[in-house]
Amino acid sequence: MKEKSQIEDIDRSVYDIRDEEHDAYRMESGLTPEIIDKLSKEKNDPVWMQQFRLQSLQIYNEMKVPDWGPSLDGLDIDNIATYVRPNTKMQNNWKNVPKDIKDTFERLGIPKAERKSLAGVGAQYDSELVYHNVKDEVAAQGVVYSDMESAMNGEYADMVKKYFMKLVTPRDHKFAALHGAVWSGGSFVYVPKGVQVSIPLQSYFRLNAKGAGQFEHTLIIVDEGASLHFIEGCSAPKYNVANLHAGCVELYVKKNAKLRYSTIENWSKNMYNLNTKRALVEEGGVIEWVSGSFGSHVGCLYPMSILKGDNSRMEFTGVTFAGKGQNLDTGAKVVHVGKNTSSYMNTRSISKGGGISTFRSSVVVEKSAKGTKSSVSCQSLMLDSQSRSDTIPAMDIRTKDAAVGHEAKIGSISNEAVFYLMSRGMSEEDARALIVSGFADNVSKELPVEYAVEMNNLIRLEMKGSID
Amino acid sequence: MTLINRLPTRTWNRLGVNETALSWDENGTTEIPPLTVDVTEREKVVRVEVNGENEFSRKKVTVNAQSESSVTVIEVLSAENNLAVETELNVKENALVRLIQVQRSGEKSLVYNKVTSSCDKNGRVELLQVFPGKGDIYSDSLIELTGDKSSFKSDIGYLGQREQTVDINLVVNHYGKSTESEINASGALKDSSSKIFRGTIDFKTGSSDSVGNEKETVLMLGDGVVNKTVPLILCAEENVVGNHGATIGELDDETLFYFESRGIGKAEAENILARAAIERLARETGDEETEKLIIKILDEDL
Amino acid sequence: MKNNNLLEIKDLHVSAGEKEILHGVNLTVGKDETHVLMGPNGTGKSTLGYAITGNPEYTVTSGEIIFDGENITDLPVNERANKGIFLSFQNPLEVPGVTLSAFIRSALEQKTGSRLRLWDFKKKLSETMKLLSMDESYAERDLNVGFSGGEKKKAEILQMLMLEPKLAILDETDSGLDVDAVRTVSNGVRLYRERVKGSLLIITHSTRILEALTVDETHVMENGVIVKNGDASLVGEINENGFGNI
Repeated sequence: MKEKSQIEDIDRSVYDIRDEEHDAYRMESGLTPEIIDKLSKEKNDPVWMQQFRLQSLQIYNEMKVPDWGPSLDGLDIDNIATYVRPNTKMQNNWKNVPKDIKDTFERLGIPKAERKSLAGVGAQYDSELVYHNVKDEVAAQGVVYSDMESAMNGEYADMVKKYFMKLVTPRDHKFAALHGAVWSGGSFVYVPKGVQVSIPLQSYFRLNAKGAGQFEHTLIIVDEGASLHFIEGCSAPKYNVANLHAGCVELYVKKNAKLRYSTIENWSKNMYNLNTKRALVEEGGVIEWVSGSFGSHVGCLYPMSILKGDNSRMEFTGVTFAGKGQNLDTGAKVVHVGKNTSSYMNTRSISKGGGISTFRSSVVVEKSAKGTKSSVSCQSLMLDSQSRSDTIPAMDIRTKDAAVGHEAKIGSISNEAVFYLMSRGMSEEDARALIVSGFADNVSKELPVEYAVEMNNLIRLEMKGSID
Repeated sequence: MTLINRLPTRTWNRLGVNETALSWDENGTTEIPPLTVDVTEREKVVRVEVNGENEFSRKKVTVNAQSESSVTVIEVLSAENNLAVETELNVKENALVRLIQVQRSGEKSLVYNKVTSSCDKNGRVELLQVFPGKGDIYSDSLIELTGDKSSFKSDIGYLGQREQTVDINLVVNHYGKSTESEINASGALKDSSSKIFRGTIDFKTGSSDSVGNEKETVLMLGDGVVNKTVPLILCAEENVVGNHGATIGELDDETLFYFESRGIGKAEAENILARAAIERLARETGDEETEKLIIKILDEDL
Repeated sequence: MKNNNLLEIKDLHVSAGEKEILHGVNLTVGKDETHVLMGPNGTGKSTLGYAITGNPEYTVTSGEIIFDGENITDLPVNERANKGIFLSFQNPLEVPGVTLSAFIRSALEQKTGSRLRLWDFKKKLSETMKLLSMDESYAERDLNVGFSGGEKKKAEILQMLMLEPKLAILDETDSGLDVDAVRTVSNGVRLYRERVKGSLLIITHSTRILEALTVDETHVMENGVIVKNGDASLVGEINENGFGNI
């Protein structure tokens, strides 16, 4: 991909030049150390980070695109530099936001001010204000909540250095390497020992405020006995010019700590969402993932939990809705290492209008993980026969002292149920939407009420026009 | 190296379940004269003894079940070395083929057992695979439910012991309307044996009103056992129902207590249950000779 | 004391997890006797049955269980079973792959330590099944799998008659059964008393299962202790007046 001859293959019209910076990176089709160096300087990286980026770049160039999962053919891997644009600003105005996203906002009734903030104009004030309110409240408890760049150069620089990409290493896969080389923006959270954060922290405000791009890094450390609920980029869908998202989330859950990480993802439908999320859970710790995937063109998302400490546990609750033009490959991974650890996955996926949804999971029980309990349940709903729904779970059990259960179900909406609701006066469309919302209630039940409402609105929206 | 037991859709490579590389000496393979069975009558019984005597042997068996016919084919696969058996079933309209396979192989042996089948309208395939043998078993089955209302049922039982490998891949493709499949696999793993079971139910476009069920039970008994379970349901059709369930673990406390309350200690209870999966299938064969053979193989070890 | 006692329970304290359920139970069952254990729900009757049987989920924290003159408090479940203790489960477990017949045979072989003569075993099994109006096909079916509630209870009684224990504890064996099934089960229990002359400890709510039996003693349990002992008339008294008035 570093071959110069390939430059000729670029269809220039695709990369319609909008800003000057862009030009600089089009000299080389692949990513070069020079590009990374420039990025490093702009980010004010410490030396170790500068080197880390360069090492990651090398790994990136060595690694192959995964030979499993959805096709990434639509990604211009050979010209990856075109996706990497430091200082990507949400400089687009509302007019540039694609129509389907605008429609979504209108129907969701997102306040005008918030819409403006999405477009990155004016309303930042509102977002910042809310953000600061949250920040002040938790700061009083000693919680650190800042953007990654400040954390890396500030008081917590050593902590960042100690934990950054130690859990998801650049060797993990090609896009983790890419992330290591070009990451930018994101959140750093440290919850000190014993602190219970009562209100959920929401990265949404942060992302909007800073205009963080599509390679953001989230690093959360919940120290011993502490607890936190973190909500990621939820309330509003985000719009990005470039259509690759390779973020990385690293969560460290210390002894007897608890972290809930919630996401309602609704990227625009041209997005390749190749996000990597991972949690390391120490003795007695708990990680809970709540995940709703609605957006993106292609999504590969499998939060992984490493249950390292004895008696640690994980729960994953997810729903994925793949509509027209979407190929969403989602699920979860867990590795049981400690004794008496437990994992519980409960997922639903919905396919409609030619959309493809895949549930993919991996449960690994290592020999040391005696007394493991694991249970996976996934249900899929096919709304028409143009769509596709696959279930690809795998289990690898290496101790006899384990109880592992798995169940999967695939089916369609029962006509009887639709008939029953219609006999109570509901339109067919509403009846089907209601049934689908009910199907996805494993996730909505776990969300704060305003997010649950929003999720159900999203479902209703996706279900609009579902009757031929 | 020959790649076998491919998963129809790949997943994470580090799990080591996408396929299996088998070392097989293609040039040094002795072809045992193939057998073709044409079935026109009903309730025919065919017994096939396959003995792999050379270092690498292979036999092909073809069963053509004509319309309205039914047949039970009983294959006993005996090997002390490397044996490949490829069985092809062509099941015509309204025909029924029961294929019973029994692995009787020595400790250092390897059996590669390949089954392919097509199934026309209203046709039915019943596959009963009993793997109590001592050697490694690689089993790769592809069932194509091509005709409307065609159906497939499989019962697979295995017993893994010592360093034994049990590596199974079973793919059922539903093409016809109102097709049905049922997959039951159950077995026990002792010592340091390892097992992979990949079971795929694939509802292709057009297979509306079809049903597929898959169930796996694994009893983990040895301290060094490795169990991999990969149950796929692939679906490109709205009006279908697919279910999968897997239960993996050691003898649970409740069952153990029940056995013990009747005076049966843990070791004996484990022994009884390790045999159970295979004994059940032995009874299911409905063939006294085969049943006795299976019990005899079991008695050699347990 | 001349030991005509089969079972002696002395100041038995039993916990499940962290929670103590039995707070010092005293109970004696003589040889060749029928005892009834009554009491409101959740007072620890089943726990006592489990403790006597040796269910590892329940821990004896203090006290003793003497069976046939021997302290069995720390004995594993299967050894107790082989000494002649039998529990008829309230919810018998389903065991796929193992037939009812094979299960009973294994249990008998464990008890006697030798292989059974197949013919003798099958004959006895089939006779006993007839007495319990059980379809003989059940012998070759997987243990309890797909059995109805009544069939499961009959299968328990069948095991009891085949294993011939010295003490049989029947935990709500009559609950959830229709009139005919209760009669069949009750006949089976009577047969056990007549033929095997083993003792019975019957945990029950109702008197239906007792109709064919002569009750020697009745015990009432409340909040984890025996609050009253009496003869057969106590059963009738409780039925009329409930537990509140004793």
